[in-house]
Amino acid sequence: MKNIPDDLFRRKLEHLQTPPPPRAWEKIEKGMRRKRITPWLAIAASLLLVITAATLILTRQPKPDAHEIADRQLPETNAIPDTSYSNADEPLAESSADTSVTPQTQPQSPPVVSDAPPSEAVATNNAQDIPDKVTGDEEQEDIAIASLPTLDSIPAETAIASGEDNTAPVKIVLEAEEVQARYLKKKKTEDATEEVATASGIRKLLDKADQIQNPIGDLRQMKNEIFALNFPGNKRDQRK
Amino acid sequence: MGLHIYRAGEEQLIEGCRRRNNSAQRRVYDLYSSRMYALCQRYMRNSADSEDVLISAFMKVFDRIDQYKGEGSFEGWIRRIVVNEALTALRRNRNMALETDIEAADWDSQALQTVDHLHAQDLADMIAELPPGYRVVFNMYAIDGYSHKEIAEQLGISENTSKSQLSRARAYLRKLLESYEVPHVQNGGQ
Repeated sequence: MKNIPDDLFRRKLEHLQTPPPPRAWEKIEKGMRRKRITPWLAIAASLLLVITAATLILTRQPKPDAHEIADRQLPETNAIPDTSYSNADEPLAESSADTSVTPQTQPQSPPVVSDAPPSEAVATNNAQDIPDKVTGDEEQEDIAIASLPTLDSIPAETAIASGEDNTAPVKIVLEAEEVQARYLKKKKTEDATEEVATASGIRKLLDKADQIQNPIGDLRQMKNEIFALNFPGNKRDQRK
Repeated sequence: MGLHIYRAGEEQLIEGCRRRNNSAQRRVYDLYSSRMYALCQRYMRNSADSEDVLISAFMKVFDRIDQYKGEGSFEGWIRRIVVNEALTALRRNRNMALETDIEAADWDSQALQTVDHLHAQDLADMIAELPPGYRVVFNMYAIDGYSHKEIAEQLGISENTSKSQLSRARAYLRKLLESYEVPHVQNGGQ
């Protein structure tokens, strides 16, 4: 008796039918069609996004400039035994002796190689000059600048010595010359101006982090470089 | 035999829906849309809302057809989706005043004898007059067969609240039935 309203309403209403307006099905069809298309649109949009992002990242990567070339070659200094530093001064004398030998082979070597010894000689001369000038300023830069020419000069000499038959190693000599001529002399002024000067501290840090190839060996050197570039005062040097 | 054929036909339709076959979907819609639209009207106050609920519910039916594993009737599965959609719409509209209070009405058992001839549409109109909270609980419990536990879970209320809402809905409907019957009986007596 108590539930009579329930029974009455259930009996009458459970199977009640009311036709919906015809437009309802059209809306359902439209919605279903949109749902079928949406996943493809989403996939296409995400692909486009990935491609755009990849393109932006690739195109925005800075061209290999002075810092990159210098920093790429710096880790090699760690890989080479310390003798490279000790050889920095002495072998130069030897190298001058070597270069004195190379002119004898000049007539036999191709014209490109014939240009190499003078340029290489310039490189070694600069290598000798620059450390002498800079030693009074900063130790780290001394190491960086002094190590570069010696490293490049050593393979260059060997390349020239054995390069009478093969001209491929000449490329290395040219690269060393390019680094020497373009960047090493300007290193200080470039770092202090334009891009590097205007970039934020975080940007500089990130750039340096990108360049780390050997985390254990490079981190210390990177740190020193960052401090040397950003805090050129003497305080830090005094502390060291 | 007839039931078996019906079942086989229904399974083919479901399989067609699983393959996203448009004509199979249309057949399912034609079979159940009228009953589901009437159900929507019991929960929603106006026909525009009922239509919206019907559309979104059928889109879910076709979208989630793979979730129907053949346990229970297909119509029951659709019905559950429609009820869920109606509840979602009601929640969205903040239309469920579950705590609406009314005075309890005494049921006149004499009236019961005279209301049985009422048309379904008249009863549907009475349900539409219920306050939203009562209407939902009465629909779910009395007509669509939900338990108080399920109602409590679905609506986020306690079972006791569901029970009290139901008893108040019943009282309200009794009152409506009595008021409906008085003129009817008077007319019949003349």
